Amino acid sequence: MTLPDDPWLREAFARLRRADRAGAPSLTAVLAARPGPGRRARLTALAWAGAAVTVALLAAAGQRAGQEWSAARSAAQIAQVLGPFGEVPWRSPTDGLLRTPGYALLVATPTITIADSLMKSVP
Amino acid sequence: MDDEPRDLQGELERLHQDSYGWALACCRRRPAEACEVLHAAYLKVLEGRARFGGRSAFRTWLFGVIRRTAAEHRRREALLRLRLITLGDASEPRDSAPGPADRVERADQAARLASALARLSRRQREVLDLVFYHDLPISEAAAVMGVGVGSARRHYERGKARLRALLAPS
Repeated sequence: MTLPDDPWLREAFARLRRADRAGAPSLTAVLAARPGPGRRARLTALAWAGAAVTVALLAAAGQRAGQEWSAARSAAQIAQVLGPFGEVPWRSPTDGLLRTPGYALLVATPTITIADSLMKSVP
Repeated sequence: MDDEPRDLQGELERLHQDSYGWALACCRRRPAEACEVLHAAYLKVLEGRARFGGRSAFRTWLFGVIRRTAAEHRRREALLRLRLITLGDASEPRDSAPGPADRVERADQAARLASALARLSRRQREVLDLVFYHDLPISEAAAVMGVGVGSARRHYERGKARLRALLAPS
């Protein structure tokens, strides 16, 4: 098998160069060329995609702001309905059941008082 | 330093054929893609977005601009393939339909070389194209490719050996 040498390669490249030059467009044609319709369409699609993303982000931000506003409004309405009672600490409705006879002894320390008459009788 | 050629468009005109050949090499020999890359590269030069610093020959610099523009184009195409960017229409003209350059190319033995080149690595393809097609010395090819001379020489030797094997008559 004989491998092509450098002159052979040069000749092959020269043939390729001649073929390329035969089909080369002029400089004016290259400079006058505008981006093809496909590229324009890609740019348009990209612009549309960007616009869609922007709209989606704005919608999400708007929705979140709306939720926060309605939550704040609900809190304000509740405060308005409760009025001054809104500040009373919460108590369980069954709290009264725990108040059995003698309950006070359980939660209070008894004080021992000695009557004066009793003190006088002490020698 | 103002080493910019006074008549940029005249310089581009003078080198246009070579530039087109180099753009083809950078674009896997697809004429439509090469024209798009060349258009973008010429605009960069004419609008001053790429400025010639006079550190090399104007052609070497221009080839570097074309190479970088082709690389940007490839990256964009890769993104499109990964569908990170929404695809536009399917009616975009692709290179499947042979243009006049393709028809001539396929009719010629050059097509064999083109298909063999397509099987080399990008660096090997680039250095061989710059040396054999554009008659640049390896040092200038290295400057265009943005690699060291030693690296360019390695790509040149390996690429040439592989190309010879691919083109050898069986």
